[in-house]
Amino acid sequence: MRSYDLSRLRTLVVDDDRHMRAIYTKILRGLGIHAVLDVADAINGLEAIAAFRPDFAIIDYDLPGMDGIEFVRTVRTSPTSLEPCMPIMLITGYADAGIVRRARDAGANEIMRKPITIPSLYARITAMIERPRPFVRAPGYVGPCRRRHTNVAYTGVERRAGETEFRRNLAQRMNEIALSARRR
Amino acid sequence: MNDMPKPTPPGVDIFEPPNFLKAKVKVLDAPVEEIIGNANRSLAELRTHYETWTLEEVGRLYDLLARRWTKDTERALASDMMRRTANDMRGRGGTFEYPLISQIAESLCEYLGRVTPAEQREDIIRAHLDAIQAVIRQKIQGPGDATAQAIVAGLRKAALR
Repeated sequence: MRSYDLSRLRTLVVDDDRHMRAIYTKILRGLGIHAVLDVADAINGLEAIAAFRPDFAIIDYDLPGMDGIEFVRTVRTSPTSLEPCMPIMLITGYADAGIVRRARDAGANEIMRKPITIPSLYARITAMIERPRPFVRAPGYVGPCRRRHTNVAYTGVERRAGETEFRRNLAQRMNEIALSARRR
Repeated sequence: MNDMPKPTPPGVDIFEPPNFLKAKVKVLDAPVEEIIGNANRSLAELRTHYETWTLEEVGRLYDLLARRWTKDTERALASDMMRRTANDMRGRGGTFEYPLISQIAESLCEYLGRVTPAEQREDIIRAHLDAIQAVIRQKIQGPGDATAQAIVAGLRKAALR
């Protein structure tokens, strides 16, 4: 794992537990992120995105009212969303595969189970820095590509229906992006 | 023709958003252990507060438990509040090297989520709270000894009954 100077990052923390908010703030500041804004619910979190303009957000799943998954979906799909592609890390206290699947399908970049440890949180932050995934906007899904380790150059056996086509489309789109960047 | 890349299906857009995170960070020469160590020192400032928070929360749960709810809606709200607090305690225990608290709180959380508020037994909830209080007061960090593990297993068994 690489060491990073994270001091220019701005982070939004959304958790109804004030002690957890204090824990995240202490850890993030210890990692070098000084601009941390913490709020107690998802509605305030959505408002904070406009006012605070975070580079990434950490949100708890189990919130009163709008939960963490609904927050992620709103950020990704709301026509008024200012940061639809913002990296979001969803934290859950439950070891429930259904929650993980729903969080992934809502467009969360990282999903982490409590207890939070400093090395695991740092590893998730560095993953968002080093391995950003292509973004998909499709009917029924908006968010980072859910195939985390897509290798467009892969030539081995395909185990999923539509994998080859997906890989070709992705390679083609990445070529288009590279070409347009070169033309600029 | 089959080797030609197919166009992206209509209505599906795949793109690379700008990586603002990467643009705003710099690679450091310092080892990762130093970064993690700084964060550990920062978090250590809260360690002394953690025990106080937990005892205060247990106190609030004892209060909720002692009240005699006359309305089902009030009982359900109190039960949900207890479950949320137990869930918070479960999440924090491991961060402060109190995994026993996480295990006991998890057992309580599952019990409160699985059994209807009307059927929840005060003695089972109280036994969990007593155990959390004892772990904090005796400062039992780490996995605890055989007796502690047996108590946790007993609570879990009672909660699953």
